Amino acid sequence: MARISTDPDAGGHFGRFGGKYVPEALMHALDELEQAFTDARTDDEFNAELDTLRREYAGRPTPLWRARRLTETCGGARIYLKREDLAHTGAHKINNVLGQCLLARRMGKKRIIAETGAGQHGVATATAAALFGQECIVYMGEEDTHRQALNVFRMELLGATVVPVTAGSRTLKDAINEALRDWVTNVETTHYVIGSVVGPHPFPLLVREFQKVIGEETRAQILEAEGRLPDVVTACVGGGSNAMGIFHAFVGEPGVRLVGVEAAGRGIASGLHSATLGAGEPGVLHGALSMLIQDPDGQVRPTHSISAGLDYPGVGPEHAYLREQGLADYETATDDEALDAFSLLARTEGILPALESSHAIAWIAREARALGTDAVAIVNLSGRGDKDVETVRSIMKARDGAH
Amino acid sequence: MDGPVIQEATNAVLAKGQRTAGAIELIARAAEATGRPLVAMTYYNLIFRYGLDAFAHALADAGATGAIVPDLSVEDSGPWRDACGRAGIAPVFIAAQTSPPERLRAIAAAARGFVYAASLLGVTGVRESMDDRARALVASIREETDLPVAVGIGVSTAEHARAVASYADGVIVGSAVVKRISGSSSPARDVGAFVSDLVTAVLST
Repeated sequence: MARISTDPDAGGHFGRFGGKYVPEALMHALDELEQAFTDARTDDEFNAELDTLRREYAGRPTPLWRARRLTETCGGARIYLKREDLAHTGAHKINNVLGQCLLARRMGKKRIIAETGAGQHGVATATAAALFGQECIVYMGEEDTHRQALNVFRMELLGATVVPVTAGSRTLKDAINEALRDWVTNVETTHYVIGSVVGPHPFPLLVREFQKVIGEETRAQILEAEGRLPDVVTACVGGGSNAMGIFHAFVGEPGVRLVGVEAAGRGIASGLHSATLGAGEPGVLHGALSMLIQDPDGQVRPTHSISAGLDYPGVGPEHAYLREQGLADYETATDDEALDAFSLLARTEGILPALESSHAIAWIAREARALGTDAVAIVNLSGRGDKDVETVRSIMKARDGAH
Repeated sequence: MDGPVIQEATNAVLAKGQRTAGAIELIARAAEATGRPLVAMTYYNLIFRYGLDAFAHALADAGATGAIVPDLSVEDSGPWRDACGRAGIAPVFIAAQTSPPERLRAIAAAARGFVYAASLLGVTGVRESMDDRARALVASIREETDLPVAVGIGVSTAEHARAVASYADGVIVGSAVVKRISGSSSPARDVGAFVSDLVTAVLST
């Protein structure tokens, strides 16, 4: 395998990105976490337990579905869907939380905190915490608690406490701030289950390692189905964990193009978007140097996306590195394109995708013809869209009313 | 890592249009008016965007003598320390109660000016009582360096300040001052009176 090693250096740097930009109060906890993870990674017992949980609890491996009607409709590349929406709790987020909650148990930390945007990571964390008998507190922007009211109730049913965050824009960025505050205060008893490949080292590495199972399965499945590697692997990018998860097994593979799709919201030119790699500048947020949507003074700018899970001004440092090295491309899809893709997948394949994943569907729908009928493309269908039905209904209603 | 008091204050001044350049100008005015050594405190991204050397030199030109950057770990601070060295600014580092001896050693080696001992685990803010562990932390830092040690995070009353001054070289009060500014019709007078009380308490030890 002609694979390129993309492990960070000892300080957690992917090239110039990454690192540990956190208050001193957290440094020891990060060191402890790194040590625990390094030990766990090579511990057969830990890996065997995680493997059992993945298979018997989370429903892995998830299928790779050949989307024939979508392929026909788009008129180009043969499109396959990696069905992370079929994993327990309805998204790829479960892969990460099972690993991290198992790690927390190993470290003797009984209190789990998490941030959530769309609510998928919060639900996944509440699920794993219930399974392991851990106390769970989830921070969620107040705006997002309205956008995703059903997920709030879901987390409460699972025994978690949901804390609405009223600071700033009341979205994912503010929820992470509040979770970091809690962690600084309660670090001795608490593990912070970060939901994406963001934050200070070792989180971007650790989350990628727990998510890379997506790409490893995909690689074996596409070889089985097509007898060769794909031409394109695409996934939506907010913080970027589902994309890192499916990309990792293909990074540096000649002939395999990796495409991350960011949220262009109402268009890049409108300023109302979340396209961090496409329109951001290098900067430090939430513990890492990465790309950031900010003003010339370094103040974080408000972002927008129809999908709460992509509505974030930062992005994982490894994505910033892959982009800079030319190892992955980053494109965008607008709110409207994502909505169209949501309907497209529902009608051609009988699958309601999460609005986040709809961005990746939108990109392949746009590009399939240009790729040609000989091309093989895989889309990471990172989550199911049931949580978004209400949002989509109200937008479609408003749209119809405007006509 | 700031608590709600300073975050609200930050949002309020940002909404009024304050930016990095304006803050540096304010430092220059304060230095001229008071003639005291001034230490700036800000987050790393603002420095990073301004340019490390440009920012360190701007601070020095404004009359500041040091800078505290709470989200910059010793590990990632190399370029900033170099810039501070070139501009004659003291990079101050924070030591926490969770810092093991080897980290205290690295912090003491990197710091100039003084070491900031974070008395409580947690974010900045007003606390009801001081943690006894602060005293032990100061003692541990003194084993690693001859630099002065100042204690902050959670100091909100003259009694706190007096207690801290009995074992530390300096007392850092942030949120309690900011709170008096935001809730006051005459902030200069109220802050002046509060700081006078703190100074009296500290000098009485």
